[in-house]
Amino acid sequence: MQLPKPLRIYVAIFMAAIMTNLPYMAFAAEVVPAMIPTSAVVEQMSVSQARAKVESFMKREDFRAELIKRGVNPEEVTSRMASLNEQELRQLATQMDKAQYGGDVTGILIVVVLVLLIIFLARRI
Amino acid sequence: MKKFLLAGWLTLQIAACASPARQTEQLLSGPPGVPPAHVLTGIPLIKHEAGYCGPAALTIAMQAAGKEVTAADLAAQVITPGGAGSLQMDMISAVRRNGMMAVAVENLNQLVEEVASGRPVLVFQNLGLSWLPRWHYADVVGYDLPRQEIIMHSGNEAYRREPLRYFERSWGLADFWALVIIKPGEVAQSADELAHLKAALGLEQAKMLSEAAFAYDGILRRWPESLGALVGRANIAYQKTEYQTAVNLLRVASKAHPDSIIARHNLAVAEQAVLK
Repeated sequence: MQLPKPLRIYVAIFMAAIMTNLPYMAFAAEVVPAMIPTSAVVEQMSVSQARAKVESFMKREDFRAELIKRGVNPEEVTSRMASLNEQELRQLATQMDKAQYGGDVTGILIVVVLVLLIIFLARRI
Repeated sequence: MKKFLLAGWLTLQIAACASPARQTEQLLSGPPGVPPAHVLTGIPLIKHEAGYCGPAALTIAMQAAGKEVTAADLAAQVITPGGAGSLQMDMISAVRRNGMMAVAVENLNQLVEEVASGRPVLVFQNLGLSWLPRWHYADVVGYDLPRQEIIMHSGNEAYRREPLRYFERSWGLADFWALVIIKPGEVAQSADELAHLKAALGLEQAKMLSEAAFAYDGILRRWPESLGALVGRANIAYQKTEYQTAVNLLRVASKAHPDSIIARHNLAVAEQAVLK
């Protein structure tokens, strides 16, 4: 199907106008900077709480001693932790929370080492 | 690689088996500052048919928090047709739709503290096995530490006593999922600032703006410098075109948290809105 020629020209001009960002520029003056939603703050707070939890845990003497006893270098673990993304960090913090209940260092150690192993192996697959 | 993951998973499972009732032991060895036994009297049980433990347990907790709802209303909101039961997310969103806050409770100590402060705790349990689950919702309405028992409205049975250890197992198999329901403006005894913020944010996102405002105000009474509550309350004020209120709140936020870029950005936006 073919459009009549005058209509084709109008359509072409219309399409050309849309494909440039002229319409956006025309309205740009009216755009008001928006408030950042509350969820962004709560998200940040939740990540920093998770990070603080993990870091304070890594500083525990008994925990470091357990790591060394198993031939794992605590510094290596700390540097691996630093490269976790936000979601992984939160997962780890949740796991630590659960394992920490009852103050069982060995239980947490198993969890931490496994989480790190799984995360790092999964990334390489 | 798969072998490795499998081995890791197996070890996790074994670790899980080898650590029975640790929370119970911790609770019994050093209970948080609560009376040794406490039962919430006068909490009505909601009788229900099989598959309806979700709405029934939710109704009990909602009514105890002062919200007048019926199990029939809630059933329509939480039952997944064809699924014969209710999903946890649906339970939380039903709480929000009714303008209440769902605050997470994460461990046995916290759970006992909540019950001692007068609030029933809605819990999710797996009464079956980890690989053959039988999911169940119930309300914890009391505890008895000398007798090592938890007291629940469970199924069609009121004030049912169960050994704490059994309860910890079935609760743990459901990933220790539990919540207390509170009125916006109140704060739960045991939960932290972040847990309350998440509940208040849920109300804000469900567009229950006046309830969310009450919730943020309540958080600010308890944690006056709460960044999340200040920003949240300001966002609601802004949406209601109360720009000066938003500015005042965000000034407090930027002063208390000079590092927060969000607080500063929103302050600038609100200040501009005041000038217009």
